[in-house]
Amino acid sequence: MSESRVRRSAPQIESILQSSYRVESTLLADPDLSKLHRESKAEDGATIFIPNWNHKHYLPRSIRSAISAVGHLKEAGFSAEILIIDDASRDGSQKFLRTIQMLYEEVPLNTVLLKRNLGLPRLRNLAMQISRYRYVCMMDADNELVADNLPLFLRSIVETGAALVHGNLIDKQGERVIQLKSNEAASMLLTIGSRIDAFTLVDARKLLRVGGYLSDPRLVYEDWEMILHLIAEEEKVVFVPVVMGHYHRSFVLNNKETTEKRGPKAGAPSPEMVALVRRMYAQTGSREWDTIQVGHIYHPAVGYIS
Amino acid sequence: MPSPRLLVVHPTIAGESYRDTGDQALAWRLLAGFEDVSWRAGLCSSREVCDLAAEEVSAATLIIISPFRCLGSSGNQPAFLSRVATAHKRILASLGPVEDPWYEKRFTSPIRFDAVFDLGFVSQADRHRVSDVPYHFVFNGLTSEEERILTNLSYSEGRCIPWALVGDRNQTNFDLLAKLLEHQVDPGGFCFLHPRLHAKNKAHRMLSGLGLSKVLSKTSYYLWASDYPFAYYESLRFVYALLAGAVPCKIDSCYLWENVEIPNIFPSVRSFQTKVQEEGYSSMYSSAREFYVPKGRLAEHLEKALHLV
Repeated sequence: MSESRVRRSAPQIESILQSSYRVESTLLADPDLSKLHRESKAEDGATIFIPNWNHKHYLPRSIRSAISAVGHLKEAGFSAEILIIDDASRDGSQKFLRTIQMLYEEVPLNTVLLKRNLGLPRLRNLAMQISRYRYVCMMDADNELVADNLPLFLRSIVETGAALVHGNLIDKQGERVIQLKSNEAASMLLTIGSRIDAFTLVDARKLLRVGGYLSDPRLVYEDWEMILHLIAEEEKVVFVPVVMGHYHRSFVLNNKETTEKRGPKAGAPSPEMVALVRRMYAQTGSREWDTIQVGHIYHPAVGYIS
Repeated sequence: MPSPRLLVVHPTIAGESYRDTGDQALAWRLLAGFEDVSWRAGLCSSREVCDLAAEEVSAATLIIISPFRCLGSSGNQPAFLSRVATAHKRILASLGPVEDPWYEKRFTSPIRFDAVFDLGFVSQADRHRVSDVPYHFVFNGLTSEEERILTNLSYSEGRCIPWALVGDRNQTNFDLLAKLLEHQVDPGGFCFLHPRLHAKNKAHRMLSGLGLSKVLSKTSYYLWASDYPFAYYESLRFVYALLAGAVPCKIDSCYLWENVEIPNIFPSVRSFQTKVQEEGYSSMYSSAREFYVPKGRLAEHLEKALHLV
């Protein structure tokens, strides 16, 4: 796609490219948050991060799976914590989270209740800044971890030195499996569509070093952009062919506020979004480029797999 | 150099290892089988067929894999067809269910076949409906190289992957995966479901044969749901599992397999799990081996079939 065509179809692109939404230094200017910042991170475990924004009714499932994963990590010789940041919900989530915190005193569970809404990308950056551990499992409040398998992903990220590892996500609506997500090694097909969900295990140090998630109201798929950014920065993205978790589709999309803040987020990225991403990461526009595999496949029992 | 008496003709695929594309397993397997009985045999791409001398072709029996793909990739369709037409015999090699529309479609190519060799574990003669082309079932037995691997295999060591599910990304496999997690079979299995792609791109996004073999060598149970909407047993999956020391297990809830002696076919994940709990890996692996090895080598079955053509 030529540059001039991109400009015509998406006039905002240049301003996004010229903006410098680098890592969230402003977040830590907030005195409440700055005291949570951890410069040095433990390497022998993982932080399971659950962002929450008006997902009170989904939290029991995601938290239960995270608690179970902490147990499995401990069995495998790793440490762990659960970090939940509430993004100024208005559905009573804070009360629920306070109750959970009291009920599960023995679980390493930390909750942060924000007074103003930051939006998901900044929330993820904040989690990486305040996590106890270098490796952070990025969940969504309506995700569910397959707890037994988190140690495999942790071993994989440590053994490969990857910036991000991802595994199969079972996309369910009710009891029905709709599809599988994040289920192939990253290829440059990523430049024409988002293929790896945000539900991954990341090396917070590496992601922060490259600027964290892009927090721009015009870029709706910050997780998609992050993968391409990591690839462009020559960081390793690794697919571990094991089930990482369940992605539960809600029957009613609860994204009204998100829509207002960040523009429409439909099931697939808009042509303008695709044009923007291709402008950033696939400037040659060659379709041959799309099939180039840039990610790796790895399993701790096997090693790298071709 | 004298021309081989048998030529296994496969589609030309540029720039890729032929072993890692759709028809590769069959081509190499047939070649190994023919060589095991000391037939003069060779592999030949469809493009190479066009360059063969007329007398070389007329002395050869061609075993053709995927005729339409051969034709399309020959680079010179008239030359390819004229060479093929002058061959001593033309045999279509098939590895799949005869009910599949692609099976009969292959007989509509401009190539006139003298016979079809159907490699598998169960004869499909009763379902072969192309009356003017004789059908010959060829049991997909071991090659001598595979026999050697199997003899030296210590199959009880180092199995840290409980199960592996490798195949197309389709609803059947999604459902199988969901059932495996739902029935609390160890969730730590290996799952690689790739999108259905055109042959050109497929190799990039599938596991290579070597990759699959590496995975299966650490796996206890190689599981698959039916690859087809027909009662068909995927014999190559069985062979790959056995050679890597994994138990081949087909989960098929659609068809009854009561009168078939192939072991480890289950109507449900639950029945698979029950068998695993009752018998365990070693016993199930032994039963697969005991079914397969006494059936004889592929070479013997190919030789018998060739004598009938």
